[in-house]
Amino acid sequence: MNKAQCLRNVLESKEFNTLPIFLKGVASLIDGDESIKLESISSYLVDSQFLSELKDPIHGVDFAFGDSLRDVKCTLKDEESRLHELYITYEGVKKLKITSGDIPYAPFLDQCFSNVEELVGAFFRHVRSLQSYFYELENIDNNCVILDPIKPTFKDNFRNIRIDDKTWLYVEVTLDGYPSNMHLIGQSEVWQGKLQNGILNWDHDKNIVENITSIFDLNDHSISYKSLSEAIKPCDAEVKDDIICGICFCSELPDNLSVPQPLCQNLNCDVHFHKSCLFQWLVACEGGRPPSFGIINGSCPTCLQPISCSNNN
Amino acid sequence: MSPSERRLQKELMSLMKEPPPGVTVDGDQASQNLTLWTIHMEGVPGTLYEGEKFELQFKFTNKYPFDSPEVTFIGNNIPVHPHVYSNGHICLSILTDDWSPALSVQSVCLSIVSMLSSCKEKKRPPDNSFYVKTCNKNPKKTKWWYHDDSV
Repeated sequence: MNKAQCLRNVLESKEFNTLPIFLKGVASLIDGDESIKLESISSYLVDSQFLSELKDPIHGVDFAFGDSLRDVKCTLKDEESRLHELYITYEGVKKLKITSGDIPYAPFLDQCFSNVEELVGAFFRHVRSLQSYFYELENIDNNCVILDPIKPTFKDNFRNIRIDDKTWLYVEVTLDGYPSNMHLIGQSEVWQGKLQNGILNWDHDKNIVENITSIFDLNDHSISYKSLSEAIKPCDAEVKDDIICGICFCSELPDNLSVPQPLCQNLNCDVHFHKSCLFQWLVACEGGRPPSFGIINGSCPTCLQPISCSNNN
Repeated sequence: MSPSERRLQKELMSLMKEPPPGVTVDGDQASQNLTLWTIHMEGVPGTLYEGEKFELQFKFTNKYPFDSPEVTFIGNNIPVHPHVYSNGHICLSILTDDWSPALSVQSVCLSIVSMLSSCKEKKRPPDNSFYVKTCNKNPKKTKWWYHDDSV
């Protein structure tokens, strides 16, 4: 077996599934032998052009191999020094696909790219257009207590923000960085008027967090808000475990990432439900007939007061 | 694990860990078959059922908790009570019409304990012999007519 053959074995072996171990394997073979260059190896897994592309550093991009040489994780630093992760798969000669990334869906994610540079270029161009989107989400995450998603990323274009114990504010951020579909979840009577006024008087020169804090008069304690949430961080996980859905008795659902929400409008009712659990129950009460406009009314399983629920997100 | 199994598993754990007074669940049987539980219940001291022992059977469908459990008294000692038929069927609205997914095995057990405890005279329901002859095996198939809320 010549050295090239040994090297091919290293490339294709399952044992060398992480980059450092793989490199060690290659190094032990190449050691002292100048006649073998990485470029001279062809493998049925990847072609040498792909490997050499990964070898040449592109500014602001780091590469790491995943389960095989075909799966590559790129860590990219954008102009604002934010780090983005992008997973790509090598599907064949000049066929690169993006498998997942930390950005909301965009058509270019489905495209096929002929080389790494083209792919990274497209990603950077897209990320550049999302700067206000990133800025607003980052600002919300840094200044507000986020109850849902549990681990917010740029992929999630919405946030459920804690206003008080029983009231959450839902806000979506458009790709241009504007708020949309804002509404309150929970026992929100006190806050409803404020939100309506606030939306009418929205100050477009200010960012979302500044507008929200002035709408709900959170000015004085918005900072203490965050520091408070940081102070309770150590037991945060415990707190989250405690909030279970009054229907499935669990905090997490196996098939979706939503968390139990304070959906009952009765101020004395302390129960949380997964939207999907409550929706399923209210539909069952109606004899299994889904509602015409996506919103169903009924009574709270716990306190029997009127409750309504929609089936979106 | 299906949502109903997940919930039953959780309920079983908490019922075994912190059972309400006078109530014990047959944990071995229930963990082998999550859809069929046997619960041992003791008559509360100071009530007409003091010193008596009862057995309750819970049957769950895979739609639980959206579908109520089928709950009956089984064994040799069926409590003599105006809402309990001699075949073990119980006339209790939360087991059918008033069921809510927020209820649990524990809350059903407590309702039954309190139903027994508040009894003033040990007697069978007035239509007992007719009902027992004609009823379906499944008490949920009975169109119950809840006569009174006092007991």
